Amino acid sequence: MNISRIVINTRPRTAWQAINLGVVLARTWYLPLWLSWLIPAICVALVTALVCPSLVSWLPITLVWWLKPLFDRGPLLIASRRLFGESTTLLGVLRQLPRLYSRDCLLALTLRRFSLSRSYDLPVTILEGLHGQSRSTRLSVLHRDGGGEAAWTLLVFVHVEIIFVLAAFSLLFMLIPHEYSYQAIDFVRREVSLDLFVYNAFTFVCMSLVAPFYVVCGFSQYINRRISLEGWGIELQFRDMVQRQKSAARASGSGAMLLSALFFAGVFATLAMFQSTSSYAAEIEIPQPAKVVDHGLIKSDVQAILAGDHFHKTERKSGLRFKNSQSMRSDDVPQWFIRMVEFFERHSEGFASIANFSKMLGVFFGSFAKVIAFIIWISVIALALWLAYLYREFFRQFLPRKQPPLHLHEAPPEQLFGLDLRKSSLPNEPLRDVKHLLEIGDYREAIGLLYRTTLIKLIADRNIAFRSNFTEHDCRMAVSSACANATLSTYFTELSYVWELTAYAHRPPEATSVAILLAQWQQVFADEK
Amino acid sequence: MSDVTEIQRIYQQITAVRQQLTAVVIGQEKVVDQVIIALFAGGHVLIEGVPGLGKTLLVKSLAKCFDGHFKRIQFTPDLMPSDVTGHSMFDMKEGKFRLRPGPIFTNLLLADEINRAPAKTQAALLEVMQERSVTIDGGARKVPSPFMVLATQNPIEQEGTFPLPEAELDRFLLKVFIDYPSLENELRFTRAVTGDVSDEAMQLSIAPCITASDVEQIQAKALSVVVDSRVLEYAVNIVRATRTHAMIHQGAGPRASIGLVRCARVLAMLHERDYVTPADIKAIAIPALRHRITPTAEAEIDGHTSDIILAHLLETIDAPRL
Repeated sequence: MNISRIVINTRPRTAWQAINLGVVLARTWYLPLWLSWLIPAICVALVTALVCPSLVSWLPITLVWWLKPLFDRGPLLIASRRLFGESTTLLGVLRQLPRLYSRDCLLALTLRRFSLSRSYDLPVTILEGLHGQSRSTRLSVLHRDGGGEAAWTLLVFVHVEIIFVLAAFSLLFMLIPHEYSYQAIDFVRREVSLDLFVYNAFTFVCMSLVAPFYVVCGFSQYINRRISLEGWGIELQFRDMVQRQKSAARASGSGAMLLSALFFAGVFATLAMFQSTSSYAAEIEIPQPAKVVDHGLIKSDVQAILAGDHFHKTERKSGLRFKNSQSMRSDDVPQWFIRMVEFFERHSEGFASIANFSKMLGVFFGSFAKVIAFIIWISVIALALWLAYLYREFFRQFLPRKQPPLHLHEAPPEQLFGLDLRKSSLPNEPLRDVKHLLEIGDYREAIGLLYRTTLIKLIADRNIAFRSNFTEHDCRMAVSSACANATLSTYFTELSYVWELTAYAHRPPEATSVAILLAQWQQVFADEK
Repeated sequence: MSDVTEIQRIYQQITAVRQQLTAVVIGQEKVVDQVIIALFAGGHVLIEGVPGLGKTLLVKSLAKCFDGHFKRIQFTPDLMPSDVTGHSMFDMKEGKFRLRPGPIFTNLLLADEINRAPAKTQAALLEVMQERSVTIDGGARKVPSPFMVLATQNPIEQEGTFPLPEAELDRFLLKVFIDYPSLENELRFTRAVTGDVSDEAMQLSIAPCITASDVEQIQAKALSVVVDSRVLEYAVNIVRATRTHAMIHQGAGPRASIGLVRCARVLAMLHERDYVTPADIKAIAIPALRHRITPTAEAEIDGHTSDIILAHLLETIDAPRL
């Protein structure tokens, strides 16, 4: 790795800017990156499909998805080489794939398979070649800044993949002419394996299209972190300066002197910067440029600083402070602020100092934030419950439904078409009463009593499920479906028609027809017994 | 002639019409019955079904059955009310306005895909459906009798359609669903049409079995079919129950009760009876009410159609008490 040949500007960036840079880099080198992912993946998919043809619907795509951490290594290698100006050929990378895939293969596919920062961590394993404790230490340093963004990168690209798959399906359905859409849906329903195959093919293509972006974005974040940790920008600036001075010194004949002077000037500049940004820098004794005469002394001072505890100490401070406070003069501080500070100093007995006040302010806002968070959570839960209530009918269709009770178990109605159907309401000898009513010429009453007696008999003896909403027609249907005895069914139909004529046409039945029905009644129900 | 004999004669006439129609419109007996009921009850029919199920054939054949006039209007978004009702135009020779009657002046009017026309044009039908007359240039003109509108709408294509307003839906006596025929009937129909008998030839085979005046007589006779007060109450109870049912957002109006009883009377005649039974009311309740109710949004989300809701409602209404 020769950082002087790096193709990007080595300025410090935020993690999001690094992701942007990764997208630009992936677009620049897209074809080789995509092919280096696609070729091994497609080989695995084809081999799996050929070896296990019965499992072709799900196994190849699942295997390709599971092996993604290995397939990501090819694009990473290409990106890492091209970033530092090295030319790579696809064939060369493909030749190196077995070696790349074998490195920490088992761990990558098991413990680290569901790591959210996979693409961010991958360069540590593949490019730096670190294992075990050294890898963990390195990752802990890298993750101090940028680990969260790496996880977000994964989440974003997972969603992009899903959107691509849905978009591909939508496009496919949009391309089907409207008049064939029903046939297409029907065909897909019938051909489940084809449906799965199309889904798998779309998923595979979308995975391969998105993978180069994901890998290079992770790599770009990694490079960005190293630029910031190792000061690549400063180093490159020095190298440039040295290069320029070398040429100038060669020309004047005093290059060595100037080179060393520049080196020391660089070291002092670095240390001065270090002093200005670190709280503990004041404790370090900084050699003055005027004393720079002895190379050995300077070297030992530098080594002492590098070996010291302060150099390896990492400290993070956060708090509120004015922007450009160094350049702000005392008379730039607003008077109202000075008065406010003085007021708190005078009157705030509870506050030992402004620092304490700030701390309490922090505690207050922390508590306030917790209350706000609690309110937001309650609101979200309430919103979810409200939506669930609003769409309860929609959700209900997914719940198992209680079957409506069978009508047969319903209690028979006590009244039907105005007739009392309780057994107790019948006279002791109803047929004799019918006969009597016929003799006195009350045909309507006679047919009514006969019809009622028949219904009660059917309910009691045949357990026929008459319901209160049944019309005479419904009763006829119920009797004909429940009774195997055709004579009974025919008799009931005739009786029912006579009853309808009497009741709804207001036409009294003929005496003979009622008499015949009465005689048949005895015959029909005698047969029943 | 006694009432019973009169009913028998009417029954024979209706049966003759029915036989002619079912011979042409194969496998749609239920639809044929409902259209016949609407014709003799003096109402209009809204037919819903996918294209190609014989809606036009049915209307043409019905017109031939009583030697009536048939006209068809294809409703489109740019159709104007005057295209339906007609208009006056200035005659240069005579120097006065002359009426050019629209297709509405006929016995049977097929309003094809009625929901494709805007509300203004749909409203042109309102007056004629209710009053049997059309107002053109301030003067009311009667349409020929018998008059019946058979409107169709396509249930699938909803793009570029204008939903029918409730006021117009209420003027249709029945809403009839025309569905795909059974395999056996479709085979019969296809064999008949692809054989030596064409679609047109099948229509030509229909001979007028009644006259327009017979239709008017039957319509008048239907009004005298006996409806017991309890049966009437049963019909009204069913309509009123639609207004309080939990799954119905908007129930049917009083015009629904009137329509229900009118249909039940013709249905009784179709069964050779001169009195209405509760079963007649129950049998015709769904086609007479399905377009007059609006299910709630929850019921629709739950997949409950108007027919399902009405079937459930009919189970909750007690049969008449005598």
